[in-house]
Amino acid sequence: MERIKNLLKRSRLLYEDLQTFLSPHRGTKGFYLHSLLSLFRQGFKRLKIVLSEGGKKIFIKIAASGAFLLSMRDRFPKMLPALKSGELRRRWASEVRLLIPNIWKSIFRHPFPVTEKDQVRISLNNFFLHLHPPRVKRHGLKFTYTFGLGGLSLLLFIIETVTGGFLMLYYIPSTEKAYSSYKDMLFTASFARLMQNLHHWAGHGMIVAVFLHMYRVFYTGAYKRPREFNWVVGVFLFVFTLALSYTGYLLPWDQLAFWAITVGSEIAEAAPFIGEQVKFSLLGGDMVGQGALIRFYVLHVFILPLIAGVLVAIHFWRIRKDGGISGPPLASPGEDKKKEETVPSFPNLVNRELTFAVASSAAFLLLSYFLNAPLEELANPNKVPNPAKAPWYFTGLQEMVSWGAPSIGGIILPGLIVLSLLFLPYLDRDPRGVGIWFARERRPVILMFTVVFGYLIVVTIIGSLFRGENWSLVLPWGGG
Amino acid sequence: MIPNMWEKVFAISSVAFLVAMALWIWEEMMPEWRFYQKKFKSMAMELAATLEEKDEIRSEGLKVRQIVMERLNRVDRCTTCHLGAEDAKYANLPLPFKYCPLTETHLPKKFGCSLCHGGEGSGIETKTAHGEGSRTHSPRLKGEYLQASCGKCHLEEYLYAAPLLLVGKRLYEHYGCGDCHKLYRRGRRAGPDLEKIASKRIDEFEWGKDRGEKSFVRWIFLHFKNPKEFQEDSKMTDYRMSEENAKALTVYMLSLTDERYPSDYYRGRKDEEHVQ
Repeated sequence: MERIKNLLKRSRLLYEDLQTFLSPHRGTKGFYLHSLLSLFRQGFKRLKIVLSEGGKKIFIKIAASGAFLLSMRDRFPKMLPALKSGELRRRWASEVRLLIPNIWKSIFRHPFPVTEKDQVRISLNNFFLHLHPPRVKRHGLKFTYTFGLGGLSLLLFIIETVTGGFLMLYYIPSTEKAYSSYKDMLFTASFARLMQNLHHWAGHGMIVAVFLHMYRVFYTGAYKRPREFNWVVGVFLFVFTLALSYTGYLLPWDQLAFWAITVGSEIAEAAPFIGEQVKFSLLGGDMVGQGALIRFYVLHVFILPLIAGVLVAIHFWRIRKDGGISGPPLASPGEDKKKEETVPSFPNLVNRELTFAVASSAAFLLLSYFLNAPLEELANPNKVPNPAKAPWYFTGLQEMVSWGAPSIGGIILPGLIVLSLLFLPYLDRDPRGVGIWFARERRPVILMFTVVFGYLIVVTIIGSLFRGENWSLVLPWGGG
Repeated sequence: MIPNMWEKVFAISSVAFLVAMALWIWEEMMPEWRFYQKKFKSMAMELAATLEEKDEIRSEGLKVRQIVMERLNRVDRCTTCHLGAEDAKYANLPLPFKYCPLTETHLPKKFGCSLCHGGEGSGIETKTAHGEGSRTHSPRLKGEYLQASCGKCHLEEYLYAAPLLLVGKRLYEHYGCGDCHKLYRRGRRAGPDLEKIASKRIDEFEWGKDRGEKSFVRWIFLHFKNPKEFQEDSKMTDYRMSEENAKALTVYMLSLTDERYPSDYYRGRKDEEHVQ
């Protein structure tokens, strides 16, 4: 108290003045007095004091502010010469000027590449860029050659991993809590709607991107020697993408999820000889229940992403080892000509990848903002929706199963298609027509592929859009 | 330097990206309940008489509030916006801050809000919580139809506090609904089973060419008024019901849900079908 009194005396504010000023409020607990106290003494300009709570606290506040200002007043003259001569400013400026290059150097080990030599070298020196070859062919750089579909698939895979990690923080894989934890997350967690919608749309987008990527690679003949094995890895990635989506489908545990997975498992049951065992081991029981949920959860968040991640790494590594992106053979072999037909990956390829990634991320962020992922009511094994449909990418199989002979339409035919995809590069060994869309020389193969996949697309469209109650033919716009 | 095509695309998509992020951040920063809580604060400050009360109101932060009903395994967050629902002081405030007088006899801890009012109790957006969103499945009961909820637990034959429900039950006998419909263990099976009729999904009803609002209340009500409203070949008898009778019967139908509670929630005669 004595110290406070001294401080107040130094600031020439009369202690008694304050006493009378505060006396009407003495003793009332928690009164709020919003007032400005202006002090024009002792050289400092305006001291703003907000009085709060009991009288004692106010004294301390004033004392502290007073002490601080007094100490500043004492210190200021000492700093004055340094400020006046500009020495202080120069010292700080040089610190700031050095800060950014220092940080840059600690991360990148090299300056920003300007010359072509540096641009080539950066692909070898930089971890984030070493995925790219030092130089890429001008042909492969054309957007209309690849449409960026492989890169889009990778971007969506990364988005799925990030958003999936967020969802795992809230989701509980039990039949009793899955639905409510999903819904509670949506209602209360920050950015949950973003994460759920993004996970949903990026997941479906990934299936579409992977499909289209496969079509692109096929129609440009990019699977041919020496890229046969990378095509095989790609086919496995395609299957794993479908499996990832299918296992994720169940997790919200709503009616849509429950019945789509039930129908899907019935397709698996159609497998000849081992159908029942396949279904049983897939679901961990005879029907979709807790066993299926935990199995699908572990597959979805751990086993499948792990395998897919490894396959993605192999897939990208092989692109480089197989001589970069596919294309027609260089017009004239030889070191000099090769330089004319290629450009450094940095910045030519990297810039385009970045642009495409930003554009697609923006598209998915906006899509997720305006379009919610579907969420139906809690799964109920006793309430069968009519029609119960498999996830959209399996409705084609469901359609074929519905024609009778389920083992042929549901298992044997799709199995044969995947098998022939795996062996395609080893059977179609004609090296002509690589790097050209719909090359003339490849007409018979292209025709066969188009017929098979055109058929699959048509049955998928029929199954998902033109089937209504009791699997009868309807028009998607509600008539007939 | 003239930007090439890729640079233009990069510029445009960067702007689109920033706009998208801004939209999302705006949505997170400005939930609508913040607006309601601020409004309630200013209204409550005017009502507060003593300094202590004002002090208490001011010190309350803006946050999501919830009632956890442990025994029912559900949670209601209605009080996030309906801030005065549990305090008789706020009886004269307008909606959504109005006091709910029934909380005196029906303890919020035991019953919550959505047990009677319907809606998606765990939601904190008006549209979602009131069951009007695209991803919600339990609509909120409005006006006189709220009486239907009394019938979920009150199994007494004559519940005078809920006149429409009482009349509805009488009318069920009067029109002889049990001659065609099954309810619990009584009645015949000519028409649909009514035991859990109020828990049926909207799209399980036959809507025909109807283009109006798809709600349970509307379907049942119009179905009583004119059974051929939605379905030309409906077998339901046309009783040429008055508005009041149709309303009363609708209220009774709305009380027939598949929700089941612990036995001490019920009053009156207890059927085993009712108890959880």
